[in-house]
Amino acid sequence: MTDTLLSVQNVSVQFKTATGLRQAVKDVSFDVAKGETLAVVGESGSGKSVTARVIMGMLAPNARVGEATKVVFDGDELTKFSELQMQDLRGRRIAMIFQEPLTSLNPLYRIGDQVGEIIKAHHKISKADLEARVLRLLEEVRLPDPKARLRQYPHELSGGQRQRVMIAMALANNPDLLIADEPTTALDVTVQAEILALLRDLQKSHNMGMVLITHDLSVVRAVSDNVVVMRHGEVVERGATQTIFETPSHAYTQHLISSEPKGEPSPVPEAAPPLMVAENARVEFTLKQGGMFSRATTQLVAVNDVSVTVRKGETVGIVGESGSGKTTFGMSVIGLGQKQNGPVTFDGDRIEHLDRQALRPYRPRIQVVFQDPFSSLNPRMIIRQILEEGLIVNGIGATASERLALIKQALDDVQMPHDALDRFPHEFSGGQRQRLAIARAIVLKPEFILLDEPTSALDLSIQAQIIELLRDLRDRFNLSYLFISHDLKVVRALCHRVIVMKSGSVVEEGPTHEVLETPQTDYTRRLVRAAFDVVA
Amino acid sequence: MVDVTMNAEAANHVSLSYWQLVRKRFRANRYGMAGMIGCLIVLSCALFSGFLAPYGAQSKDKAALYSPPQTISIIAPEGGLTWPFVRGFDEEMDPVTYEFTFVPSDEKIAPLRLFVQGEPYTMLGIEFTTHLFGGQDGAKVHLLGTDGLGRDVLSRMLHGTKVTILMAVMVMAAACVIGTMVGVSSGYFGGTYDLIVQRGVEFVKSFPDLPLYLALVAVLPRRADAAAIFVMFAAILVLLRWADLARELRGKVVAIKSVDFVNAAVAVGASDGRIIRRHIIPNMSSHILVWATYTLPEIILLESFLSFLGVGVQLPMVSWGSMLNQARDIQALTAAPWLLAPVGMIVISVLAFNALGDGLRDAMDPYSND
Amino acid sequence: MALLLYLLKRILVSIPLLIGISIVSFALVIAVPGDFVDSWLSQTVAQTGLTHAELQDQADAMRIKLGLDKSLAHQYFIWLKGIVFSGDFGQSFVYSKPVTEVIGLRLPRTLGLALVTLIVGQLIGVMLGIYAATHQYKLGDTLATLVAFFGIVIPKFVMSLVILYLMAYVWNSSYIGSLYSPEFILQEHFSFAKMWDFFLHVWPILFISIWAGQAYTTRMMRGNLLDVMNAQYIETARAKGLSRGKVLFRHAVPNALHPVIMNMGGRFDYMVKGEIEIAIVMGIPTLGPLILSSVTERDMYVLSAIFLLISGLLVVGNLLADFALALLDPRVRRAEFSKG
Repeated sequence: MTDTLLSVQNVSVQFKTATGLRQAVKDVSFDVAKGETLAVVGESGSGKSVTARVIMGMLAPNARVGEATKVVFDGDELTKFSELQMQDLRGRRIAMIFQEPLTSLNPLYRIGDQVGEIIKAHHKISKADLEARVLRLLEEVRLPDPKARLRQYPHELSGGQRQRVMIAMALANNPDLLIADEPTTALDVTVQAEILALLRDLQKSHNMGMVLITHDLSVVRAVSDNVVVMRHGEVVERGATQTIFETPSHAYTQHLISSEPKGEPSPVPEAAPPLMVAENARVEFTLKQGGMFSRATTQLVAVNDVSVTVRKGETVGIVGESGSGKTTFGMSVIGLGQKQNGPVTFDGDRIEHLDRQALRPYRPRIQVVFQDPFSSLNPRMIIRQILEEGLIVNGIGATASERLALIKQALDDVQMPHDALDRFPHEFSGGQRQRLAIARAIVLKPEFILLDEPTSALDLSIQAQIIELLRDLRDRFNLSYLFISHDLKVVRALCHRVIVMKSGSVVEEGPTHEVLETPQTDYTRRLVRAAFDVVA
Repeated sequence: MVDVTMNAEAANHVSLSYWQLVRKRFRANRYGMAGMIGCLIVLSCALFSGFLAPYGAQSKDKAALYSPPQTISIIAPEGGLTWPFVRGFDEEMDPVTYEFTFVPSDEKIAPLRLFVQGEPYTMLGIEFTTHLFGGQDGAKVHLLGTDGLGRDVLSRMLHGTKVTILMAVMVMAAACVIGTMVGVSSGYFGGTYDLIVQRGVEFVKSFPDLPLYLALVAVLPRRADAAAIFVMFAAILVLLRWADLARELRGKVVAIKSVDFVNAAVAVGASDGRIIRRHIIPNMSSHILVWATYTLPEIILLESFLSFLGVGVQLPMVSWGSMLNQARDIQALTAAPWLLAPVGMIVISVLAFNALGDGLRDAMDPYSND
Repeated sequence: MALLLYLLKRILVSIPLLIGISIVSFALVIAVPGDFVDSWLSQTVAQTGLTHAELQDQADAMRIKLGLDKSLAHQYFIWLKGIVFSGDFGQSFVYSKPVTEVIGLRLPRTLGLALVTLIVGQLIGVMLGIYAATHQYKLGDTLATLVAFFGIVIPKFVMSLVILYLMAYVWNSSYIGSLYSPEFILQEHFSFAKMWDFFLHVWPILFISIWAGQAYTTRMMRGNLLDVMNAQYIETARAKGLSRGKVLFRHAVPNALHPVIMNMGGRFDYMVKGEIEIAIVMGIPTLGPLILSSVTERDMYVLSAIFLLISGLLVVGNLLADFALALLDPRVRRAEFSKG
C-alpha cells in the first residue's frame, strides 16, 4: 500500500427542494490509497452516489456542499478548484463509470468517436494516432471484433459490450483514480463476473485506485480491499473487507450481512400430487425480416420445448439470464401474455386452450406477483379498491363488509397495517408495495402463485423480509410457487427444484442443492460460479 | 411485527388522491390560477349574457350610429364627486371636413343605474327583464360605442360570448368523445381493427385544416337557417379535431396495456370492459383534460377567423368573429376603431384557456418529487 | 442501403394517401349542386338574354364534350388524367380562364413565403429554446417563455388587422395590398432595390408568421433540452472533462433537436396555413385571398385544385422531413428496417 491518493473529509451535502433543505450526506470521511479498491456499500438513500459526485464536482445545481467538506486528491484540494480546473481533472486523472450502460452512451455518435472524444479533450493528437489508440483501448477491454465496433452505434451493442466501451473511455488517459458507480448492477450475472474480472486486471496493470459503489455484498466481498458502510447519508462502519464480514461491529452492518438469503426450504412430502404441469411449451414470435419487399419472416423461438411440474406445496425455480425466456414461459403457463402450444394441466384440468371467459373460474386459484412494485399497483386506486377487485370480479364475499374482512385478513397475513386501506400506492415504499401486491394475490386464497422476480427491484434487507414472508405464507397455506429469478442465492433459499434456461431452452434441471452444488453443464457451472464466487 | 427500523425506506403519512395532489400543485401555480379565473369570467359572461348586457344583440339605437365609447365619470361638470354617469352625444358637423362627429355633451347627463328594467331576454326558458346596469330613465348607455347600425358593441360582445363558447364546447365535447372511443378501442384491442384505424387517422390528419374548412364551408347549402348552419359548421370543425386525440390516446393505451397493474387485473379475471373503465381511462383522464383545455382556444380562434371572413356564424347569431367582419372595411375601421373591441375578448379567453392548460399540464405529474 | 429502402417504403405508403386526397378534392367539385355547364348557362343567359330552352342544345353538346354526362367515377378519372398528364386543372367559372393561369404565381409565392418563415422561425425557436433552458427560472427564461406564449396565443388575423390599421392610418404607408410598388411590377430582372421593395411589402407576413411559428418550437426545445440534460449520457460527457459548452452543444442539443426535426413536417403545414390566414386579411396576392374568393363564389375547380396542390405538397413535405430525420438519426433507419 502506497501513500494516500484520495482523502475525503467531512463531506456534507444538502439539497434545496421545494419543501426545504434535505440532508443527503452528513460528515462522511474515507481514504483511498494507490492501487487500493475501496467499496462504498449502502442501500437506496444511503448517499453513496452523491458522495461519489462530490469527488468529481458533478453535483446537481440545487446541491449545497457543507463548509467543512474537503476533498484532497494527490495533494490538491479539489474543493477549492474552479470549474475549469475540474474539467481538466475529469477524464484525465479521475475517471467515472456509471450504472446504466444502456443510456450512458450518446445514441447519436459512433463508438469510436465517443471514445476518441475523451482523448482529444485532454491531448493534442493526430487523427491516425487517435484511431490507433482507440483501437488499442477496445482491445484492452476485450471487446470482441474491435475494428468493426469503431464505426458502430451504441444501440448495436449489448449491455455488457457497452459497459466495456465505458471502461475503455474511462481508462483512455490512464487516470490515477477510477470511480465506479454500480457498474455491474444492470448486467446479467455472468457478464458481471467478466466485467469485474476485467476491472480487477486493469486496475492492477494501470495501478489505479478504485472506488467501487455498490449494494451487492458478494461483489464487495470478492473485489474490494476495504469497505465503507453507509446508511442515511452517514458512515456507520469502515475497515478491511475481511474484518468487516467476519466481525461486523455496527448493528446495521450486522443486519445487512444477515440479510443475505439463507436457509433452505423444508422438503415436500413424497405423496404431494402435481398441481401445475406444463409440457413441451413452445412460444414463438413472428418477426418480419428484410425490407418491405421480402415476405420472409423469421421465427423467434422464445420458449423451446420447456416442461415443468409443480407439486402441491412445492416451489420450483426457473433461473436464467436476460433473454432466456423464463418470464415469457412463466406468463404463458398461467394464461397471461403469449399463447403457447404445449398442454398445461392444472389440478387435473387442461387449461391451455381455454379462452379468457372459460379461464375465469380458475383465476382465483392461480395468481401472480410481478417484479416491479412501482408499476404493478394502479396509482389512481386506493389499496382497498386494488385488493377488492379480485373479490368483486369473482363474486367472493357477498357484501362489502364481508369483503372488507377478507381484505383485512390478507393485510394481516402480509404484516401491513389496516390503515393502508385508504391510501394510495405512491405513499408506500417499494418493499411495502410488494407486500401489498402479495396481499392482492393471496386474498383470493389461491393454490398456485407465479412469482416473477419479486425481489429483484428491492434493497437487500427488504429482500430478506419478503423472502421470509413468502416462506411463511407457503408453509401456512401449503402454496405452490413457480419462482422466476436470475438470483441463484434467492433460489437456493426458497426453491425445492430448479430449472436452468438459456435462450429459450432448458439447460439443466433437478433438486436445487444438486444443481447448485454439482452442476452438470458448462453453462450452469458458469452461472453458479458467477453467482457465488462473483468474479470470473 | 416486522422490524422496520432497519429498513432503508420510509413512507410519508399524508393520504391524498391523485386529483387532490394535482389540485395542490395547481394552486401553487400563479399563471394557472390566473388562467382559471379568466376562464370563469368568460364562462359567466356566456351564461349570464342576458343579464350583464344592457341591450339585446340586434337592438338598434338609430340616434347613435358609429358613436364612440362613453367614459364613466364621477366628477360632475360643475365639479365635485357625484354618482357615476355618462355623457350623451351631440351631433356636430366639423366645419373643416363636413363630417358628422359625436361630441360629448354636458347637457345630456345620464346617471348609471344598477338593476334596471330593460328589454326582455330568456335564461333557462324563463323570461327576465332586469339588466345589471343601464341609463337612468331609459337613457342609452354605450360603454364601448356602437356600430354602423347603432347596435351596442358591449352587448353584442357579451351575447357573442355565448355563441362562441357554445360552439367551442360542442366541438370539443364531440371530438373528445369520438377521439377517446376510437383511440382507446384501437389501442386496447389492436389487430386489424387497429391497423385500419391508424391508417384512417393518418389520412384525416394529412389534410391541411384551413383550406379544408374553407372548402367544406363552400359546400354548405346557402339558404339553410342560421341554427342549421351553426350545427353543420360545428360538425365540420369536429371532423379534423378528433384525429389528434385518437392518435395520442392510442399511443398511451398501447403503453399502459403492458403495464403490470393491467396484467394483474387480467390475472384476477377482470373483463375487458372493467379494465378499460377502471384502469385505462382513469389513467388517461389527465391527458384528455389537458387536451380539452388546449382545444377550446383553438376552436375559438378558428371560429373567430372563419366568422370574420363571413363564412362562419351567420345572422341573426352573433359571435366575436362576425362582429370583426365589420372591421374588414378599412373606412369603417378608421371611423370607429372601437369595432375592434371583440379582439380583447378573443385574446383574453385564448390566453386564459392556454394558461389554464399550461397550469394543469404542469400540475398533472404530482408523483415527481420536487 | 437501409436508407434507400426506408425512403422507398415511405414513398409507397404516401401513394394511397395522395390518391385519397385527390378523391376528396374531386368530391369538392361535385358536391356543389350544379356543374360547370349550369354555371355557363346562367352566365350566358344573363349576358345574352337568351332563355334556357334556347341554349339547351348547346348546353347538352357541351356536356358531352366535357364528359359531364358520364358517371362520377369516369369523370374523376378524366379529371385526374387531365391533371397528371397535361397539367390541366379545369376552368375557373369566375375568371373564365384555365385554373392554372388563375393560380399562377400565387402557389409558389405562398410556398416560398411559408418556407422562408419556417426556416427562420425554427432557427429562432431553437435558439430561444436553448437560451430558456440554460437560464431556467431566471429572467431570460421567463422572457423567452412569454414571447413564445404570446406567439401561440395571439391570433394571427388579429395581429394582421392591427398592423393593417397601423400601416394604413398611423404610418401612412403605401406598401399595402400588393407585392411590389408600381415602379417595380414590370421590372423583369432582379435588383436589390426590387428585393427591398418586396420586403417592405411583405414584412408583416414575415413578422407575424415567424413570431407565431417559433412559439411552439421554443417551448418544445426548452422542454426537450431540460429532459435531455438529465440523461445519463450527459453525465458521462461531463465526466470526460468536457467544457459546459461542448456538453451542451455536442451532446445535449442534438438529442433535444430530434423531436423538433420530427415535427418539422407539421410545422410546415402550420406555416402554410398561417400565410394563408395573414394574406387574406392583408389582401396580398398569394393563395389566401384566392381561396376565400373561390369559396364565396363557389368556383369549385379552382378550389379543388388549390386543395389538391396544397395537400399533396404537404404530404411531400412531410416525406422530405422524414427523410431528413432518417439521415440524421441512425436509430430511425435501423428500427424501421428491422421491425418490418
